[in-house]
Order: sequence, then C-alpha cells, then structure tokens
Amino acid sequence: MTPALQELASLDRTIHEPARLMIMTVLCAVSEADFLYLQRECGLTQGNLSSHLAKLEDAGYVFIEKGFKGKYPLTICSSTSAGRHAFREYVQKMQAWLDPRQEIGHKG
Amino acid sequence: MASCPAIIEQARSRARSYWRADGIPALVRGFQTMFWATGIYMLGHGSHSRFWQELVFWLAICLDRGVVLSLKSRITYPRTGYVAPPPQFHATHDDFVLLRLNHNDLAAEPPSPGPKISLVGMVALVLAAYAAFLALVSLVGPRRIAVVLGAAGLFLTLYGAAKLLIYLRQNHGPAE
Repeated sequence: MTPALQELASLDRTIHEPARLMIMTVLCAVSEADFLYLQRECGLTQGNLSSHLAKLEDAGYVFIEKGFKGKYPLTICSSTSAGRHAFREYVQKMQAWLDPRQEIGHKG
Repeated sequence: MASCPAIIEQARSRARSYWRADGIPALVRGFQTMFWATGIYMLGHGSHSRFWQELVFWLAICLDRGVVLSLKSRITYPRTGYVAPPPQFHATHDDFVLLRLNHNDLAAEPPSPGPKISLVGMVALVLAAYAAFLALVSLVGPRRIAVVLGAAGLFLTLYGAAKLLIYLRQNHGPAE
C-alpha cells in the first residue's frame, strides 16, 4: 500500500459519514441553527439527526443548547472552533486527494 | 459532485434567503418606509400637530430588526426552524473562515478580525445621509419625496404581505 493511500485512512471518520458531513456543512455555513432547520436542510428524520448530533457533540464538534420556547422544545446547535477546524482539515485533505494536478506532480 | 466550499456557499446563501423567505422583513420595511413618508408629508404640510409628527417618526424608528425578529420567532421559527440571521454591520469570524474556504486557500494563518465600521464612520455616514436628504428636500420638495417614498413603502408592504401569505399557505402549523 502506498503512503498516499494509507493517508486516506487518516480521514476524520466522525465528519466523513455523509449525514454528519451534511450537518457540519450547514453548521459551518451559519453561526447557529435549530433542530428543525437542520432537519429540513439535511432531509434527515428526527431520530437520525438526533443520533448524529449526539455523536458530533461527543466529538466536541458541535455545541447543543436545549430549551423550551413556550410549549415547543428548542434545540440550538452551533459548530465549535474544534469542529470548524476539523471540518476545514477534512476539506483540505479531500481537496488535496482529489486534485488531479497533485497526481501529475507525484508522477513527475 | 460540487466541491465542499461551493456546498458551504450554497448552504450559506440558503440561510440568507431563508431570512427573506417569509416576507416579514419586506413587510416591516414597507411599513417603516410608509411611516417615514407620512412623517415627511406632515413636515411639509405643516398643518398637523407636533405630537402626531413625532409619533409617526417614532413609529418609523421603532420598526427595526427587533420587530422582524419578534415576528419571526412567533411565525417562522416554530414552522420551519430557526437559523441565525445574517450579520448586520460587520463580518464575523466565521465569514472569514468561509471566505478562505471559497478561495481554496485553506492555509493555517489566523483569521483576521472583521472590518467593523467605527462609531465615527457611522456618525459621518448618518450626517452625510441627512445632508443629502435635506438637499433633496429643498430641491424637489417634501411632498413629492413623501409620495415617492410612500409608493415604494406600499409596494414593499404588498410584496411582503403576498410572500407571507404564500409562506403561511405552504407551512400550515408549527412543527411539534
């Protein structure tokens, strides 16, 4: 296995999962959003979104604030600086691996 | 597949357009413009009492972003969710992070602080706008300005109301 291929294994698996990648993309684009907005944007079910958010929260990538607005539950989510850093790193790695110019560079 | 920065930009522009999707900002801005127009008309006419003139101007000043947010928290957010409104005067730290992502420049240099408008700059801007307004009033006349402003306000109000009706028709009740 080449070192370049081995490097693929170093991808952050917490972010790499498609649903969590969608959540992180939305949360990195806005300063904060509630559960309902994330659900509509990502097209996930309540349970699915809830479990993925819990995983991201455990990793320290999102900050979740739970409360009530009248009789409705209000869950506000925002990306933490660690989350934004991890996301940026993930994007950097993916862009570097998918960039065809880099492959030409290796061959040369 | 689109690259990640493009997706982020898309998510960001969707969040921005979400701010206008319910028509509430246009509705409030329309009412505000109409109040300004009424105030200017009263000022030009000179036959109205000072109390009514001040009341109209105060109403115009009070119809700000706070009113929009308060209406949104009752109408929009329970139905289709909340996302932080776009920043008003200065770019946030995240804006610069995204700016770098957009330019494919993901280097590790620390983000620079946002270009904040200073207090002196704000005062100068307000004074310049006021001077331009006074010049326009003396040139065209307050009644004409009031009519043009009033028409613009009415158009904005109708546009906002139509958008709000469409939004309410598409999103019936608050999501449980």
